[in-house]
Amino acid sequence: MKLFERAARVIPAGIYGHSSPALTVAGEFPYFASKAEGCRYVDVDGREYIDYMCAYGPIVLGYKHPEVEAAAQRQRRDGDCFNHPTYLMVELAERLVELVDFADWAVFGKNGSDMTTWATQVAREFTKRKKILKVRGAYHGWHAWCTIGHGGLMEEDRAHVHDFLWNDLDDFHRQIKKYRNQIAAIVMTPFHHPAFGDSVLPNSGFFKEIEITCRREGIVFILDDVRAGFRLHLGGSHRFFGFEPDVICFSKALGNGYPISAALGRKELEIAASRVFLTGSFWNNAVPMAVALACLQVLEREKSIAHMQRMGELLMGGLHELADKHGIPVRCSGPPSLPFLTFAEETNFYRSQRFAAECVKRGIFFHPHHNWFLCAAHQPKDVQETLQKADAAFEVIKETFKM
Amino acid sequence: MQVKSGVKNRLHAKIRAHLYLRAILTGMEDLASYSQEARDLTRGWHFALKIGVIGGPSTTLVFDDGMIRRSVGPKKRPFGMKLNVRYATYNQFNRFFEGKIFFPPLFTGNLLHLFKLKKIGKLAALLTHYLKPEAAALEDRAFLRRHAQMTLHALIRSTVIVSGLDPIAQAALDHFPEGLAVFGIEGQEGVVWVRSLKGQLLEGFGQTPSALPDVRVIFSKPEIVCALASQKLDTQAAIGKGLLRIEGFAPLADSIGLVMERVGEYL
Repeated sequence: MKLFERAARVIPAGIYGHSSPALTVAGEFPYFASKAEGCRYVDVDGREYIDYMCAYGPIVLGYKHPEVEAAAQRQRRDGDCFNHPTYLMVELAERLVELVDFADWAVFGKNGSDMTTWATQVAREFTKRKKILKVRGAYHGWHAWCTIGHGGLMEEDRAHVHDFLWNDLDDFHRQIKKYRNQIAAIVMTPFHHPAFGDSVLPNSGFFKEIEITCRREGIVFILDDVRAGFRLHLGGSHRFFGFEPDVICFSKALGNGYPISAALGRKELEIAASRVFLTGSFWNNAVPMAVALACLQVLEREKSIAHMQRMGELLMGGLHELADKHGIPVRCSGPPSLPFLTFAEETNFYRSQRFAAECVKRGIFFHPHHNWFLCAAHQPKDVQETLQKADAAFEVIKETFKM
Repeated sequence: MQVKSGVKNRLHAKIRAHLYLRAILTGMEDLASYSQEARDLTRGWHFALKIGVIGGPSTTLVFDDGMIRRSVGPKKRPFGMKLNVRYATYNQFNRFFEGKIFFPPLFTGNLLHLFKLKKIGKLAALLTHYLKPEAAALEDRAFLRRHAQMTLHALIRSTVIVSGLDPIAQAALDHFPEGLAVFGIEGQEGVVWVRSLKGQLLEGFGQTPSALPDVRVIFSKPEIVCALASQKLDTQAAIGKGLLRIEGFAPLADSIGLVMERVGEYL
């Protein structure tokens, strides 16, 4: 708390954005990290946690993964930030284009927002249309057109951004009809994962209908795979759900914690992509690109995605069993590698908050309001330890809420 | 949501008048329960004072031997003796209320009560003292607690009023989560609540409509309420430091906070 007080004296909000204590259970959750390895991290006060947030997604192989760190170290010896990109940018683009079935080109940035925003500009350049359609409550980054924040916005920022409801094709078609020939892009995540809500998978045929409509209406279909990318399918989450977008955006898991993002697209969009300016002081940096290549290699060789799914199933199955044992109704949602647990019969998150806080007290980092992340470093023994501690947390829930 | 400047000025004056009448002046209720001086000033009074803008909002304060309450709705006239004080325009009322220029209002009703206007002026000064005290007054912890409670009430009332009139707040209501939010100051009795239902906000004090609110907002001490009301609170930092606790469905509190920020546009 002393460190936070220092922070609040010199940093607006003390800690801002997704790691703000205001978004967890303030006073009961850790605020600052000090070190991490595998699937565990240590906070600034020396308490260790089995981590089910994985730095909110980027850590896909585990903290300080040896092959990733070796790749970073090798490149660091030659340098990182230059006047020009290195050969690694070409190698990484080639590798990604090879992995993602529909893609013919790739560009790079640092964060998910860089790519989702740029992709909408490419769509506008390609279609010469203004409007962007997105799912209500979906998160695509912090830029003005899509931020969940309220401050500093003008009406004009969202004048051409419209929403439809997840899994509601009638609502989708209403928007298509309303803005016919005006929609440049539809931006969607592969499953709906709103904060303060259950994750919702796409209904059968939902994405296929959107894909067909986009083709028919000349709309660019952008898949924001920033959060789920490389946790559902190595070739992009559209492969997991069986559809095909026109552009896909990656970040988070691509660099196992190193700052890198990528957008990949179809041949037809390449000229438009070349016309939309894209840059940043550190966007050509070589170390994250070396890391991304190593990360993709390990993910493929170790079949890490299947492993994360197995561990996720083990975890969620175990939590469900424990909840049943205590007579506490819960809901498990989302795919196993990005699961989430909420308490049935409640929408106000009191039990979720207490449960997460009790788990944190016992060295398990679950978020009460945001989907969780598995990584390749989670092993059955970690899950078992988690379940053992979660058992005690459920006991507290039962007592506190007289269930 | 483009508002032309003339229309914007009129809307601004209208909302300000609504706030003065329905959020600030109604603080007289709290004042009578907190201040002996206010009770003494109105001891022996049995009449209702209706003050407002012709064709616009009004508030009726009922004086009942030292107690003051706001009367809600035209049917609840407790006493036959009523004094109506009405202003021709929002601007006239606002400038009078802000103590800038005195426009003679239209008096109707039982004009015998006009002699009480001097004491009502003293009451108004007391209300100002409680809502906008001098820094020295806040050194008295008991007074500070009362000031914070009255400020919180006024802020919540203002938030609900603004939600019904301000175009930006109304746009926010389109996607407002439903539920019950309860606001309170730790160690102090009396919670204030806001209920969001079908795109509308309602408020109340004391007894909440449901035993379990969807979100609880708890101020650790009165100073935090004052900082929030004066738009000088880094809310996230306050939460991190434990000065402000938000338990439950935080997006509801966040959405109310968004409308609350709009109050600063008018007061």
